[in-house]
Amino acid sequence: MEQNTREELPRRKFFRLIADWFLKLILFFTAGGGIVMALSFLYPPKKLMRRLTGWVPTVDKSSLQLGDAAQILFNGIPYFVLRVSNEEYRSFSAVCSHAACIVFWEKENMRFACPCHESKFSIAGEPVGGPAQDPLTRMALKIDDTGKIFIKLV
Amino acid sequence: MSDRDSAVRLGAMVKVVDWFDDRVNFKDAILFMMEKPFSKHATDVQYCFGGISLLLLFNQVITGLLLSVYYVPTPEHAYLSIQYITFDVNFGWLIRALHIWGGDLMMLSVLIHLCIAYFKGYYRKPLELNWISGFTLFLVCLGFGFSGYLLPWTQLSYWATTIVTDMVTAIPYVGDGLLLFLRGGKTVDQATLIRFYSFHTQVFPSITLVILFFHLWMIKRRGICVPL
Repeated sequence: MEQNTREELPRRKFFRLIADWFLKLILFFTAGGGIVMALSFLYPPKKLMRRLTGWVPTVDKSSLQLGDAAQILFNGIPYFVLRVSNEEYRSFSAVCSHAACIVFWEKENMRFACPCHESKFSIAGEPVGGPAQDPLTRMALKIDDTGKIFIKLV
Repeated sequence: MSDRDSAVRLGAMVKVVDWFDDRVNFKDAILFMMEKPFSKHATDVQYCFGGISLLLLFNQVITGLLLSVYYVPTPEHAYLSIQYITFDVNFGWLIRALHIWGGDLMMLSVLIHLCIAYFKGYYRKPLELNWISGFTLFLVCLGFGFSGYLLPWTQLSYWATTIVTDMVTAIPYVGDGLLLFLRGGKTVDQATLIRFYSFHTQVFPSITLVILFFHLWMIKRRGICVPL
């Protein structure tokens, strides 16, 4: 039995076996790496996964006329920044308090309206019509020296 | 261990394979193909370039499919989406570079493949149809390169497309009409971009699939052309 071992696995065959498995390993890791990279490519990038909190810049004070509302998206949720008088600005979440649709700004009526169930909200965010019972979420707002409006995300 | 054994011994998969084989009856065909003798010339370097082109084509298909997930073919977003792919998407720089370099290398290997077939006379009977289908594939390949070049919507690609599409006006009688057909308007704009995108990702791949199947099927059918 001991003597035959040499016969069963000659050197040439042995190296061939090693080379064979080496190539198989390379192939396996290349294919595996490729699949991992492709899946990683399809996964949303870090930039999108980051959740913003605290004070975030929105628009310039001067870009809003009286009665204008700017809609800005943070973390996938839209917010309104609204100029209600010459010096007063307000910010609301655009998510309706009734069924979480996105409300829009009706400049001619100076109110928010919801496209889903016709809820209406005043410029103070209070429900004034339709099925909604609760006000829109009001966001804390500040204006810095350069006239940039910031809102506070929680 | 012969190729025949490794084809039959599929370990735990055997039952699944047998189940399909009972219905599709493909085992004989696979064994037939594995036992089909190669020409003794087939290991020559000059015969490698067809296979290299095919390998690079697979690379183009896979990376192209991945890129199409993020690319947006509108003038406003084309360049932004390219920047997004390159700088923000995981491995986006790699996938995009693989697509660009794979395209260039494929063009090179196809050209070498074509030159060898031309200068060595491999277009002769019975493979004339392989020459014709191969040359058509080469033209489609040029189309791929040309249409893909516009998609990043940079100054370079914009003006390159303007100049190259302008060239067709040199063709008598039909030139001006052809220019409108290529651009989808009088200038290179939104219409051109979406048109080139459609050609690059829908039209040319479909044409390639059909012609390439014929091109490879003919090789299986008639064997490679040996040197004179």
